[in-house]
Amino acid sequence: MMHRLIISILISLLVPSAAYSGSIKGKITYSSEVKLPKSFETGKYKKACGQNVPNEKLLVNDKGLMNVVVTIEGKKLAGKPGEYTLDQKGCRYAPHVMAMMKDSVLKIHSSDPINHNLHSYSFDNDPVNVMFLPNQDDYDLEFEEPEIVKIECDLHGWMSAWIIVTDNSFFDISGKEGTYSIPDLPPGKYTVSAWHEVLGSKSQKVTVKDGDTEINFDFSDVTPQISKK
Amino acid sequence: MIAIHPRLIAIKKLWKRFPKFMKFNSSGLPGFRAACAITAFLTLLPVWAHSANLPSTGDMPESITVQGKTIALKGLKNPLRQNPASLSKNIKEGGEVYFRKCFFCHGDHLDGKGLFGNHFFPPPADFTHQTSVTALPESYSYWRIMKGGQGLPEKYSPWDSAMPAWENQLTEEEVWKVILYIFAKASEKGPLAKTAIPPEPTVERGKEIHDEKCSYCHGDSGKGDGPSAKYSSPQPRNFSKSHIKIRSTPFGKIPTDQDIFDRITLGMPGTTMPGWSHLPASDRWSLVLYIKSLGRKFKRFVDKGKKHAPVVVPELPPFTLESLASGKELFLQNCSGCHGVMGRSDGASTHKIVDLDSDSIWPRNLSKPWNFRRGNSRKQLFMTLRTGLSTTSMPRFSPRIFNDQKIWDIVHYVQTLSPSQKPTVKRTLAAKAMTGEVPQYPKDPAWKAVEPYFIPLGGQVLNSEKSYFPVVDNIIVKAIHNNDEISIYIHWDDPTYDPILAKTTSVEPSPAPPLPEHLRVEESEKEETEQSVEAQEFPDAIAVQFPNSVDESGRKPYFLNGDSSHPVNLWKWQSNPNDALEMNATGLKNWTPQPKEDQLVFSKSAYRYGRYFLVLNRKLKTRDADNDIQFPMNVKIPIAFNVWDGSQGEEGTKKAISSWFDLVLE
Ligand code: HEC
Ligand code: HEC
Ligand code: HEC
Repeated sequence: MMHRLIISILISLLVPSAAYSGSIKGKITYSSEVKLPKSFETGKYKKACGQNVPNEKLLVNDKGLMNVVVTIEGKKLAGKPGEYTLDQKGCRYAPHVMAMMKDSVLKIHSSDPINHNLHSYSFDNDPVNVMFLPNQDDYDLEFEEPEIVKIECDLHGWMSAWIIVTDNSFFDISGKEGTYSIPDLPPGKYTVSAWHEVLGSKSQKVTVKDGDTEINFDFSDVTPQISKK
Repeated sequence: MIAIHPRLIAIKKLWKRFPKFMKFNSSGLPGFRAACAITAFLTLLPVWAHSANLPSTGDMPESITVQGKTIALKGLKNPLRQNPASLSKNIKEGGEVYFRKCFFCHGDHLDGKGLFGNHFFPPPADFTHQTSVTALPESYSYWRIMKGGQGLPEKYSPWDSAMPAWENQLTEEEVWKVILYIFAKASEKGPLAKTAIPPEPTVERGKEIHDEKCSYCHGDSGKGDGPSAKYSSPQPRNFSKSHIKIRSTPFGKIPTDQDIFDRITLGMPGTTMPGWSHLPASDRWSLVLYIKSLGRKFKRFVDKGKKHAPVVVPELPPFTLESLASGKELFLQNCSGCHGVMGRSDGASTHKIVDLDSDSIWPRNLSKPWNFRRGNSRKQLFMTLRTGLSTTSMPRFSPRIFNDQKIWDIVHYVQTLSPSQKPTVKRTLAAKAMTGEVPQYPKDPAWKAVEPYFIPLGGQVLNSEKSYFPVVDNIIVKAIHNNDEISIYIHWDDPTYDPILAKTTSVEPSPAPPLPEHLRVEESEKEETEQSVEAQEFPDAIAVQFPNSVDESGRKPYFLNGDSSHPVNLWKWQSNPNDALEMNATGLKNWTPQPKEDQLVFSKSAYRYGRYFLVLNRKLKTRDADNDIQFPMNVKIPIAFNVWDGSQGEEGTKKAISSWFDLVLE
């Protein structure tokens, strides 16, 4: 709490025009009847990976849609890159969806007793395809440009993760209930976008004043694009 | 008219590449066309005459029927030449026809060295030298293109030629256009004639050459979407992505200029991408500049002041047995998941990786290094492993994972997965005599002593439905007999097997990379087979083809499953039901199985680590001498092969095919 206070004081010092700042909050919903994808069988890798690995492509909890990345586009928004970690554990990427500002560093670790290769699909950021042997050193991956990056392991077909590289540090990922919140926004006009891996993206224009602005997204009209792979 | 001229000596060298029927006659005199070309070359006189050695204008029929229309060949002129204003447009469109229909065989450089060029006998014609069709009137080419190999007079063995007849596949106008293209480009192999080479390489010059030579595949704006793209796997590179597979820089990093230059110069073996070493170096550098201008990453690299960090290959270490043993272990652990235990692309993870529509091709078959894009020397392999192949699932193995010695260990092992040299193709297969039972199972140790023959296959691209990029590009054949029965052994690499086979024969796919003892899952076989009993939609199959009967005069049925007057006898094995059928055919589509009581070919099959093994056997003589080949001794018996990879949708006419070979029972 103390920490937070100091930061907001710092921000208010740095950004004098935003003496009082607003925030955007809301809920992402998905209320269509769908069969949620089944978890993956690991077959030969049962003992190394566990019998099943959850399928996280579409997670809905009481209509709340999880793992939606909400980002904000606006002229004056800036922020600070950070350092994040991604683990390969139980033949699953933890977490499954991440967001980070450009120039952030992603420390990639493997806790698994078997080989993985980590293959990233991106364009503006140089893609990588690196191996992780058991007890391998971590691998630092730097993202230079805003982009949606997919990560896969070619050896274990079910493993996938998403990294959303943003222009600024105003973003959030919806949690279990589908809610998100982006605080400390200077008042102004913005575009808010919500992106989901199988439901695509939607955006809304918003004018933020001091205090909370509620922006909800409903994806119920979209048919999920779940590939078999 | 036939005069020996010093130029002949040079031409004689080129001559060697020509099909047999185009070679010099026994008296050592040059064929007529050579003489004509030279005479024409020396005197610029038109030539009209006849030769017994190679087809020429004299062999042309008076007239041919195309699409129900009779066309007189003599004096026939290319109608498109009457319109000089649209000549260059027509040439360009002819090029598009060429790069959809002809480049597989005649090659990008029109030299007969397309991807399937050395898979057919006689080889596809080379249009680039003085004695090619370009030395003859265009009506000659018109005839040859419309009527193909089968339209040749008998003395030129029309049954051997893989040259398709295009009369029902191309319009007359398209044929005239492709002729324009061949005539215009055959002589223009080197630099562009139109403009002089600029003193320094430039982007503009690069674009000019790209538009002229590369755009048929790489597309007008380098996006990899030229007319040939649909017929090519791997597809031509999309340059706007700034990535090339073979580089000296790590996976995902942009290539150095030298990397791009080297790829243009050397090409990509095993793909439709030829090498362009015949272009002046300055033009190749212009191409590098142009390719770089298409991808925004190159500019950003410079703007950000970045530097390349190319991998440097260290000094070669000595080759030791310890290194080999360590390499084997490392290979199984780190490579077999994709490449398979024996390197034959059947790794446990390949089904996840391969998606030809999105251009994710099979992990390379490491037992066929002649298809390696970079190469199979130790240093080249080291570079490949350290850098990975950008845009593919082939990772890089950096010093973070393996020190130099470990990489060399793997390199040493990889080299043991393939024969030290590409097997040569012998046109005559000897079947030696033995005493006792002929071997009936692929596993029989007796096969070890039998000479293997390498038979190249090409896609069936002569008639629709075609197979443009068959997975199976060669088979290995052995044959033996005991004066009563003949046994034919065949193996071929197919990374996928028909799951239903597991019910009837021994099937051993590559297992997942070995796990530490405590993590291993004991293969509960039951569970496995129960899950995977579903057969492939189309079975995997192979057919061995003979003429119905051997013709003493040497006449053969058409190599592509015979024709109405010359039927063939086929032994076709397929995975589902796992059995061999005797059939007869009179053409690509007219196949009839023989009645049950006449089925006398027995088969035994197996699948192991990405390879099918098959033995077919039959009595040398049967009672049905009309429909079954009867095997005489010491006589050349024509034999050919067709292979279907069912998992790739190959069935019916979609298949890989071979030319005729000769089988001789000794
Ligand atoms: C499946 C391989 C294949 C394809 C595809 C193919 N050709 Fe051929 N072509 C051959 C072979 C083999 C020969 C040499 C044997 C012969 O003359 O019949 C040949 C010969 C020729 C000749 C006669 C050369 C001579 O000196 O007599 C011409 C002209 C020709 N091809 C044009 C074409 C054109 C145009 C196309 C595309 C529309 C094409 N070919 C497609 C295999 C092919
Ligand atoms: C007949 C079709 C064809 C023509 C003509 C052709 N290419 Fe290609 N090219 C390809 C294909 C197919 C590939 C992809 C090969 C692969 O992925 O293994 C390729 C790949 C490349 C690559 C990338 C190599 C790598 O390592 O990824 C470069 C560079 C290239 N071509 C340059 C050229 C240039 C320059 C020309 C003209 C002078 C040209 N190509 C003409 C088919 C063609
Ligand atoms: C995740 C899958 C994967 C793994 C693991 C893998 N490969 Fe590959 N490899 C591929 C694929 C796919 C290709 C073909 C890519 C293409 O050309 O599009 C390839 C191509 C190659 C080639 C051909 C290079 C050339 O010049 O054409 C060699 C050699 C090779 N791999 C060796 C290895 C070795 C040795 C290992 C282990 C140290 C290994 N690979 C691990 C997928 C893999």
